[in-house]
Amino acid sequence: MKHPKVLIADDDRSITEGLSAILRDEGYDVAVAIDGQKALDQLVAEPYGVVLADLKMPKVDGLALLKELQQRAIPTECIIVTGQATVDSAVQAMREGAYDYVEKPLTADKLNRLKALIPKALEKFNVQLKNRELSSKLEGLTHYGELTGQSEEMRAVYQIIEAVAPSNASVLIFGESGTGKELVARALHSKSERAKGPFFALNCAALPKDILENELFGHEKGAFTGSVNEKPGAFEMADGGTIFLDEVAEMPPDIQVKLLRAIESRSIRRLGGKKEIEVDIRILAATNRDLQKALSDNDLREDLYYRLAVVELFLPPLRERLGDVKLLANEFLVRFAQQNGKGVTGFDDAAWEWILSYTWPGNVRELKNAVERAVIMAGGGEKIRASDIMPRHLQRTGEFATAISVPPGATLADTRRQLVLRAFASTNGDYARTATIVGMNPADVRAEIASLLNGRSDTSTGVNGAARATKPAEAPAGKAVKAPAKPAPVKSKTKKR
Amino acid sequence: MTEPTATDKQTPKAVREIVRRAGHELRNALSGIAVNVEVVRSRSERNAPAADVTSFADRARLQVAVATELANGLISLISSVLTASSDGTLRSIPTSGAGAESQIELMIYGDRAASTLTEIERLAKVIDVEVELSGQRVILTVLPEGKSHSKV
Repeated sequence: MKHPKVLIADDDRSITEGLSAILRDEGYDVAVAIDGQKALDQLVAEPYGVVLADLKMPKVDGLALLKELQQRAIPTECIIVTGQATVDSAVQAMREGAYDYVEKPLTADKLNRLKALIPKALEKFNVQLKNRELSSKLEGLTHYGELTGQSEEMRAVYQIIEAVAPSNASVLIFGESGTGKELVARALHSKSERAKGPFFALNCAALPKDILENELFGHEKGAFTGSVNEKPGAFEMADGGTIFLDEVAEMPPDIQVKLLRAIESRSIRRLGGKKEIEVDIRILAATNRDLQKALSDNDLREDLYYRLAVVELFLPPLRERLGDVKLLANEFLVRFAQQNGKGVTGFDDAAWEWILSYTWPGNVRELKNAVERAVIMAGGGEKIRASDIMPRHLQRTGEFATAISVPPGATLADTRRQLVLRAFASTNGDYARTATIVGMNPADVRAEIASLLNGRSDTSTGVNGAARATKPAEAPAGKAVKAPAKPAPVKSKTKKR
Repeated sequence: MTEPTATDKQTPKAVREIVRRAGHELRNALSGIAVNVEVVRSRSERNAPAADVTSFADRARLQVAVATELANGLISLISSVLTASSDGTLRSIPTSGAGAESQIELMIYGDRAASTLTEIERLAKVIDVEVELSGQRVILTVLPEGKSHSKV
């Protein structure tokens, strides 16, 4: 077994030799540096989980060593051990990133404290090392499982999946419709130790109550009229694997009670059944609902929420990861061109303008469908035009026949944006013609489109009048957090989680 | 930095610095004793061979000698400073010589003057303080830290 490495940086041999012996007896691989510069050289040459550094050392003192470690991002945890004990030096050492601070003389109590600190510091070091490896592994990654994206937001999602997948923790995935919640669930499953087991996905909104209950828990023969055979439910079929409950907030309340019981007892009872059947499953769930509203409306039981949301994962809408739009559009184009035997070579400039300026309220699914439709409709060896890719309801029908909808509360800016976008769509991305139609100068039209492109739209209403699905406020994309001890007052839409 | 107290203001800077440095070295020596004794204790509990224990016992013993020397030097210095302070022979003097941080002058006299001076000199060597004698007058010059940096 590899011993964790500890470096002692102190110029006092009587301490370094005694301390080395103590730590070696504790199972550490110990090295000694007799001044700060030598400590730095050794830390650059090979990784040490923990450094025990004196503040007062020749050449490079303890504080300078800490600064260098920070500046050069050398991975280690530094515990300052010093006889120069003042509040100032302790505060400064902690400010410079020291893990902890132990005052000399190293009496038996302080030695015990030091011995207890080292494993904790090593644990932190190992976590940081793992995170670094993960970050560098994920950097530049365009695909993760079936997910596509290289934006910072998606990398954060990948990082959470990577961290959470090996555990057995329930994960509640938030995201607007079409963002890829099931793909995240599949990635969590495939990266877990349950990967060889079944993955069972069930949409809780798509099925009537009785059927959903039957699908989840199964039934015994004769449980109801027409049940001529016994049937195992999703819980049994997913035994040893993962069950994914999409749109979980739409689940009828009495089934939520049964689900909660199944999660807590890790066993289920079929409809009409008398015996408990033990199941070994991991539960992943997803919702596109405003969770605060779902809780306050009693659509989702609070106790079930706590069970499901051990880890929460926010999947960003496509408009918040514009950097991925081009990657996705190109990928869909290649995929559907191959599938349909079309020689489509790409998108023309106006099509790109449109693709990048549209806010894609239906997210990746909408983009995928739009590209598929455009590829199917396109002729051979040509580029896809803006009119091919635009959603049908935004295209000109006759002379600008489709009315725009202005919801109550919409601002003048919202309305102007809709007008510009609609005209832009109807002219196949022609700025000059758009300007003529809406009575603006082309520069302003360009600025309006650019603001959409940069995601500066401050409206909560999509450009088509489609309401944005509410993501729990203030939660950054991909942020995973533990479920809170108690939800914030449900009236607030800006609950911090 | 914390504001100096009334006592700090009355005590010459050189004395405060000498005490601080001596305290640091004393803590180091005590640590040396503590860690080496701990090795002896834990290895003895495991019935480790004498060879695995003796060197640490010797090192602890050496550090006891070092700590004793430091403590004696510190006690001698402080009692001399207190005596000089009460009889009016203690004074801070403007620093002379390159790199000197602070200086004090005091008179050391009486039956134990010679041994007191020896103890102060031994302490001074470890903590980067220069000792200059002129009859009964002693000038202590605090040098920048790390000048001698002699560790036992």
